[in-house]
Amino acid sequence: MVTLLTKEELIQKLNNLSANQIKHVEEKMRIAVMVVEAEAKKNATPGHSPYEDMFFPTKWAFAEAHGLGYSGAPYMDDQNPAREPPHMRDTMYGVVETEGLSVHGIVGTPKEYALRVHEGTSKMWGRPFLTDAGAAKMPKVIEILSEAVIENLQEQSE
Amino acid sequence: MNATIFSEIITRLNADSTLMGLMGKTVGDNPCYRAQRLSAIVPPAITLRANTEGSDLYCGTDYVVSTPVTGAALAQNRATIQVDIWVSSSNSSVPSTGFDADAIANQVDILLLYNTPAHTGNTHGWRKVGSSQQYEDETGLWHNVIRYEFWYLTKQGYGLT
Repeated sequence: MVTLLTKEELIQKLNNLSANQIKHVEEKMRIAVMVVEAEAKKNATPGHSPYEDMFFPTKWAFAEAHGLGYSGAPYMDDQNPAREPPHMRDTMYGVVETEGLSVHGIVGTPKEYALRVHEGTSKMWGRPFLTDAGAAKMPKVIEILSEAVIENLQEQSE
Repeated sequence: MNATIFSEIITRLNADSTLMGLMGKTVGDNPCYRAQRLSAIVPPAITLRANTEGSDLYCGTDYVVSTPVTGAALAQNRATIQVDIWVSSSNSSVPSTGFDADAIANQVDILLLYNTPAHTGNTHGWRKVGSSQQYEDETGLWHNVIRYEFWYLTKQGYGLT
């Protein structure tokens, strides 16, 4: 079906398109953030982490001494007295912030030692659980955010 | 990561006299090297390591490559390289501060983001993924981390394209 619009109606449609876009992007960004957050948590989960086989002597020694299975994942065993509860994995969060026409999806953790784990130190290799999560899920994030544009166009064309 | 490309990136850094000057070194000292898991870091140094690498495999003719081969399996690899800059705060000669580490990081940016294909000919699409700076209390080291993402193609039976 073809709909004929007056000039004023067309301007109104285009204005609505712009005004509603942020709302749609925010909605989809919340989903995208959850997708990346879930991947970051997976990266910090023994048995599922891409860093499973990375070797850390201190961690290995503790696992050996206590008869525990070893995992290179950034996750400290509950029995380890050095652990500062809660687990870093369980503190990961995702939020959406909007500033004017910019919508930001933020995934992170407030753990004080998270940066050292992520970036590494002179004595410990980094395990970039957030960067890797973002890279792994980038195609999915683009797909999700593209839906925001499509849904808005469909809504305004009705 | 492909060994040839890794080597080209390291050579690119070690051959730059400006970067060497910022590190208090000269060309030929080779303070940039592939990170060693268990050996101690002697600052100032730049160590490089590959982070997780993704790859898409597909078949057919790729007209982008210099010598197209019909039917070869091609892989488009998305590599992330981590550049660690280590500067000691325990002496007064340059480099010895967080500012010095930042200056080194800026020069690494210039070398890896601008005109990179001229020096690492098999790569493209370089971009900076992120950067940070930390100070290690126990070792007195400034530590800057920069990550770059780039792409390169490999062709089954032919290696890099």
